[in-house]
Amino acid sequence: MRKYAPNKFRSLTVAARCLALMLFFCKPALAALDIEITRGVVRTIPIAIAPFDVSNPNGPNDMARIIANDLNHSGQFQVMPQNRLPQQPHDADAISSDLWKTLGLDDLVIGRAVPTGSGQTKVDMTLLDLFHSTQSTPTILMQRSYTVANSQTRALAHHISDVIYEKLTGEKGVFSTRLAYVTVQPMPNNPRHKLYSLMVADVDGHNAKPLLTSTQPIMSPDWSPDGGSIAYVSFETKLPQIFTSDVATGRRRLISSFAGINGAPAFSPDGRSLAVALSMGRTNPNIYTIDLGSGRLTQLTNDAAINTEPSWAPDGQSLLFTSDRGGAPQIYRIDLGSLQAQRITYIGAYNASAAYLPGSSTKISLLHRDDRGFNIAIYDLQSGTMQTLTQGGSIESPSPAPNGRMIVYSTNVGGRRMLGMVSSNGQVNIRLPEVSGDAQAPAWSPYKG
Amino acid sequence: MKASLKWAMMLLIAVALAACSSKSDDKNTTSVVGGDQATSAGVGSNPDFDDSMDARMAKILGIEKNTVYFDFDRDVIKADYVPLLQTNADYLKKHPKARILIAGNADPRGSREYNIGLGQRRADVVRQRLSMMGVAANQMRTVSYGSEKPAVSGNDDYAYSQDRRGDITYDNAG
Repeated sequence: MRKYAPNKFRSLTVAARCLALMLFFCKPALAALDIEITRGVVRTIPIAIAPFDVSNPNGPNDMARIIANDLNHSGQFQVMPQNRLPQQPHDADAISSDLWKTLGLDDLVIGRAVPTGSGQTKVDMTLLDLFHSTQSTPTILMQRSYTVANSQTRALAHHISDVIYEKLTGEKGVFSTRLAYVTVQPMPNNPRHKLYSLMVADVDGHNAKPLLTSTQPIMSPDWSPDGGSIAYVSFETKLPQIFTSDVATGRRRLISSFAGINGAPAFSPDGRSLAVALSMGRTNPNIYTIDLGSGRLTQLTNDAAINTEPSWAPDGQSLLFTSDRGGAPQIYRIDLGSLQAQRITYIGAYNASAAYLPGSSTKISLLHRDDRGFNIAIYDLQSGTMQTLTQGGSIESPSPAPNGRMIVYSTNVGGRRMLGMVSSNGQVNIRLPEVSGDAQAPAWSPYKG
Repeated sequence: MKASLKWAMMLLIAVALAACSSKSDDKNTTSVVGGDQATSAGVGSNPDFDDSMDARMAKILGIEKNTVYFDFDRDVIKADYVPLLQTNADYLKKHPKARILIAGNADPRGSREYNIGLGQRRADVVRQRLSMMGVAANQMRTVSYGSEKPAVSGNDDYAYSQDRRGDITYDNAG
């Protein structure tokens, strides 16, 4: 961890910085990713990433571009546009300190990606401290060397982003994590009918692949804690059933097919059971757990209200859930030992889709309705305060990143559903690359196992 | 018996019409230079039995759309829809082998899983009313699609009013 003193780059006005960022992202190669600073000043780390690719330094797939994208994405870095770099060095001894000193940068990343000829690429990366350096040459903070298959350079770029992020912020990065979400597209030859796909993509929206495609709805994907499988609801028989799919092989397992609602699966922190919402042939769903080993079913709630969206506490001893037992949907917590349920939220007439924010035992992310509509909010259990993070108003399905820094959600843009991310301090809002049709119900994966 | 005959006739007519339309509309003849000729013809699209079933049932029942609409955040059946339910009840009582699926739906606002709960309430209210009208329990199944199957695209009050609904579809006409 380091402290950040004010410097010239930071003293630029917020407007100018936002404009610079916008111009940077208006470049065609990155047009798919749309970042907006929604409010206030962000304490960002000014950094530059010099091109890695020696032969084609400005190509859209240059690892430096991917790393720059990742770091900007986090909202915690401000990456200097490449066309403002005074040099494009690949080695530390090629750096002319005088050229970099006045730019107000804290750090510089340089690297070299060279194909070895046997389908592999050798990648060297050096992270340099420009700000604290008193000598004529910058201080080397970190040096790494990798040899990977050519097809893995994008994944390696995300890994390097994680390494840089952790070195400079002291927290784990989430650039190698993935998103699961559902897309809905009209059938090509019968637009009245829809095609639903459960997709898995890199967290920057690239490498999207379908895990399941169906002519009936798919809902509520949830990752197992090891990231190896995804639980979800599929209506492929016209009625809801809960399945798990192995992410690597696609192998499926039917978990729950009771009469009525089978919904809202949530893996326990130890991965051994699923909390679910079942109506058992009656109207209102209650919360149950299903032991994935023995299949044993345990009923946790038992009343005539809607009880759904179970979400585990990090210690696995209690669950948050949504219930309208008080007349409108609010968040409750149930202790697995005593089965006593206690109401958590009192601010606003509609709170749902709660989850503990990773890394915090007192904050939960949720869907909160106020006079601006449905937005993502953080509720602090200790102070009892609700902070609304988004302004869209037709937002749903919040899912926090494993480091708790960002929350992915689904929002309505011009009549279509798209994925967005907001930082848990509300300062950075990102729209993910468009897919054809609608994208909804996102779930952020855990860290790569 | 009579109804199923009527039905088979309608199916025949539908198939014949489909065949005609694929001949007249989808065929496409192109002349090319030098006397050679290429002929391309569309193969038509597969008939959609699910929807034609809905359309046929609507015709048999003499209704336009077999759907009950609900007010915002409500699961009370409005008086306007009682005759529609009575028509279905009369048919189901006359055709004990007929089977229906009642699908409850919610508008797209808010939590998807909570909306599943709202949709189930609407489906069950329709089932209860049909049951009161004398329909046997084993003729009816319910499901909630929540906000997963919006009736129309759009994010205005009209679109929402079309989404808050219970759809009755016949799995078996009896």
